[in-house]
Amino acid sequence: MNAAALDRFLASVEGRAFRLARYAVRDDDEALDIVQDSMMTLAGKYAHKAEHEWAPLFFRILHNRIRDWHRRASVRRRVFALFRPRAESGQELDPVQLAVDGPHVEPDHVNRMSAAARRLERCLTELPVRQREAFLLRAWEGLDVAQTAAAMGCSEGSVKTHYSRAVHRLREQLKDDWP
Amino acid sequence: MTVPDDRQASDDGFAQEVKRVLDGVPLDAETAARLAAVRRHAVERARTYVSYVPPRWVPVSAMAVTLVVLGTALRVGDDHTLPVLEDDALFAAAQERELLEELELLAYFDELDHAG
Repeated sequence: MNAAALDRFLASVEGRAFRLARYAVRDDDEALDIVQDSMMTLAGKYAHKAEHEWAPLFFRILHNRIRDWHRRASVRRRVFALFRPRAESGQELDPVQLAVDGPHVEPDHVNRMSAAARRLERCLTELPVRQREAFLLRAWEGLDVAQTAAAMGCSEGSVKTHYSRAVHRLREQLKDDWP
Repeated sequence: MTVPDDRQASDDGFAQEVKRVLDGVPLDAETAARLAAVRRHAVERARTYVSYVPPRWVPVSAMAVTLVVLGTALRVGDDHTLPVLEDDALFAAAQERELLEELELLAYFDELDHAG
């Protein structure tokens, strides 16, 4: 196993992996945990594989960790919903409470972003999960269709469909605010 | 369904623009430092991780042990086929009884000869 090559590979993907996870879970700390877990799994189990296999493997692990996170979150929501008092119908939700309970994103990060990037990130978080993954893996990570299919655990046809829909949807949403 | 060339080119251009915008957004220093620490830890783990590769003789040995166990189990199974053995015992006992009866008959004839 070439440790220097693994270090280079992880350094090249860590930022994008972190943000990909953040778009999915909308929480910096959770996203960092997911990336850490993915890196450790790749290093522990797959570092001996050929270097050209690392990218699809890493993003497949990341994809699985994100999916696991959503499953756990779904279970948590269902359990807590059992004990939460039901709101009266028509009652307005407290925006302050929503802000407190909402996703945790570093404010510095938001301030540094340009308006276009902010708009783009918001649109990305609003995309369906599979469309966002297909789009980011293809357009941002630079994986080809076969590698993206391997990373997402689906067929190449599905990747093409998700990617095409994502591009169409993003272009529709960004047409007024896109440079 | 085929995508027209101009639309394909337009989509590709859009994707490149998205990549450029996303790449232009830097990570904050704290997150970058945490990611670097995680990466170093992962690389260190890969460096010290020794994968266990079983020697070549292990599968052969496993196969041999399996065959021996299966053979033993089948032989033990044979012990349970008692009806055949029981039949043999009964047959042997029956033969023994016929022999005794014959001996008794011979003895009876001897007695008759002596009496006569």
